[in-house]
Amino acid sequence: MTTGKLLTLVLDNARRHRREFVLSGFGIVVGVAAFVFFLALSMGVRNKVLEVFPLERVEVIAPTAGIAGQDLTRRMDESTVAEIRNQKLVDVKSIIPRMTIDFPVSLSGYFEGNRMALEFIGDGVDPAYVREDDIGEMFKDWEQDDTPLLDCELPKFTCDGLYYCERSDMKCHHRVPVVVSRNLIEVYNKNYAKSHGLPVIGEMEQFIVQRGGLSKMRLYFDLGQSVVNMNQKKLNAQPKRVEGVLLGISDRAIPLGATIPIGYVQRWNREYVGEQSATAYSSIIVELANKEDVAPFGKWLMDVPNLRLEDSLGERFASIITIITLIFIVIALVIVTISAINIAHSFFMQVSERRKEIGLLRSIGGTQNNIRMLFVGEAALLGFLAGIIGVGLGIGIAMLGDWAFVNHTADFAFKPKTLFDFQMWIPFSGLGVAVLFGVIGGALPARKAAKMQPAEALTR
Amino acid sequence: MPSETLSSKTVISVRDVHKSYGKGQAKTPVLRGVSLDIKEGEIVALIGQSGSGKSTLLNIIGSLDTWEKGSVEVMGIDFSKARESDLAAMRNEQVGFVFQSFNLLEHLTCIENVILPSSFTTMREKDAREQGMEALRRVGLEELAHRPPGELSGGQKQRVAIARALFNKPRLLLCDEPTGNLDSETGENVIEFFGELNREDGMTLLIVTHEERLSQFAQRVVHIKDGIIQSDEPVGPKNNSDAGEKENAS
Repeated sequence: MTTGKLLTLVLDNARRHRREFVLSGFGIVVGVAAFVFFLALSMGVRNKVLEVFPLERVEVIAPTAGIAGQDLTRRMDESTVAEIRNQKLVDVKSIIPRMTIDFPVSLSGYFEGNRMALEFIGDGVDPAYVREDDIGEMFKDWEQDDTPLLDCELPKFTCDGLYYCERSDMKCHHRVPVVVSRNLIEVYNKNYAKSHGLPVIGEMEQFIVQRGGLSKMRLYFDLGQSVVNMNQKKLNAQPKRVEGVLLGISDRAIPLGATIPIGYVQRWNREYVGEQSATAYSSIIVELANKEDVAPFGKWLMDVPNLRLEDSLGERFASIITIITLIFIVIALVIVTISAINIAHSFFMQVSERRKEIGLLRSIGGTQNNIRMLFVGEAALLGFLAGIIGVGLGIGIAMLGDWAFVNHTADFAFKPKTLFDFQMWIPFSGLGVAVLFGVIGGALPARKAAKMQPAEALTR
Repeated sequence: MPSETLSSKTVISVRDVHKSYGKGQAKTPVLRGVSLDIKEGEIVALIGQSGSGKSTLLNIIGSLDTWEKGSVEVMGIDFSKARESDLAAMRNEQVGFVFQSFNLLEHLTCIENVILPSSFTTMREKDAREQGMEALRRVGLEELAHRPPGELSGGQKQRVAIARALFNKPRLLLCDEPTGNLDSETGENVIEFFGELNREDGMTLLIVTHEERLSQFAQRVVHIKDGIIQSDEPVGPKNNSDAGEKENAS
């Protein structure tokens, strides 16, 4: 029996048993729709999480150690960077040190017409690293810029644009570029904005434009001063005020604070604390060539330079998403399995109803295998058609869900443009599952049909 | 006449065949040591009451049923040694079946029913349709080729079923109560047509029936009762073959 002829017979029978087909295939449609929907949803969310917390990007920290209030934490500096760079165990793509400000700095500014002041929590990082995150060319160490500094305009000590007058040298310096993390905005929106009656920040760019552009995003760093008055540190320099400009949000900013180019932090630490402080890193971001290298690299860090990897949020989120996805896929597969049982039931009934037909086909030359293939083929066709509808339904519901999510939910940090990622393999695997479970459902009835004695089938 | 010119080759050879239905205490013997030889070109009527085992014997000869003891050889194929696919090929190419209830598939047209045996071969659809039309022409139903069987009379349905049996030009036709569902006139026509097949094509026919009138048409009549062959003798004016006269199964 050729495949073409088998297909002709299968299609004929499918047409003839339309009603049974629709009823038997319903479960497969629902199961496959759920399967495809959850798989694409999990891929979409997982991608977003790994975009924010890439698995291959890890943060190296020195475990905090102290005796009697003395900080004995292992110091990380350029030698640590060199040690990581020179290790031969894993391929390292880039190494980006971060440096915290080692003395009190208070941050103030005007927000919605009110003066606000808070203790500055922040660090410095290689500007190129932040610029990769679409923050723009303005995020750089302007003090390293070769452009000669203009004199301040007297008598009002003013400068043009994003420059401010530095009283110590009476020159116009560019404001220190600042980025903040989404988490900070999220904390502000969820707690601070609500409790203080302040506006919620949605799209940062829109927020900045609405308030008159970057020139209005003025911040004041009071170096060597604290709003909490708990400073017990002896500083090498007198307090001074430096102006900053808030450029926007970056996922590469310190989680609950602000980040500026590392050059400023190094100079300020050198000036106020000393050379030791200007060369010590708070953490080192290492981008590995392969995410599989994270575990061996973590082990090497513990064994050799006695450092640790900061817990990867990406890994934790990815694991949680994988578990949730597995649960949903199991649910989808349970639906499809029940549907396969339903198909089996329906096909057993059909085998009984079509006894004479089976007997006839055997009497005119059909082998047991031909009969088996006929029923398996019908079940596979049922699975295939139900699979196509199921995949279509899954995609349709996903699109509807996406539309509702994008248009009818409030903005929040890391809000993705789509929740789903329909990679090519997802609809195909949905279709594969549908055909597979159709065939599983049809297998036993097909066996029964094939084993039927033709004479017995014809006479009943 | 073809049956006169053909050699007396045995096409069906059944030896001491036993068959029973059921298991254990409910086991009922249906055939109890049946032996029968049929030569090429013969028309044999297998006559018996309901439950006598005649249909079971026909099904065993057509490889549609199993048996417990004895040997069966049809068209030179020893059933006990043949593979399932060999038997299927035999049913497809060399043996045609005609049933009392026609067994036409109602969702197909007449021509589609007739060419159904081609589903199990590599024959092209176009060739199959041509061959199917020829078979329908033979039974005089060419004009009804594209009608569903539901629109046909009983006699017409049986002729379509015969056309299907003739599709691959078999050498042996096994008929189970072929006139059982037909009125006497239509039944006569069918019987006449069987005679024509025998005369013109030299086809061997084994017809199971409980109607004595068929015995007038057959060349040999085999009576079966309670699973045992009671008599096997040449009969009727149409008996023009000497085959079967000497090798009656006892």
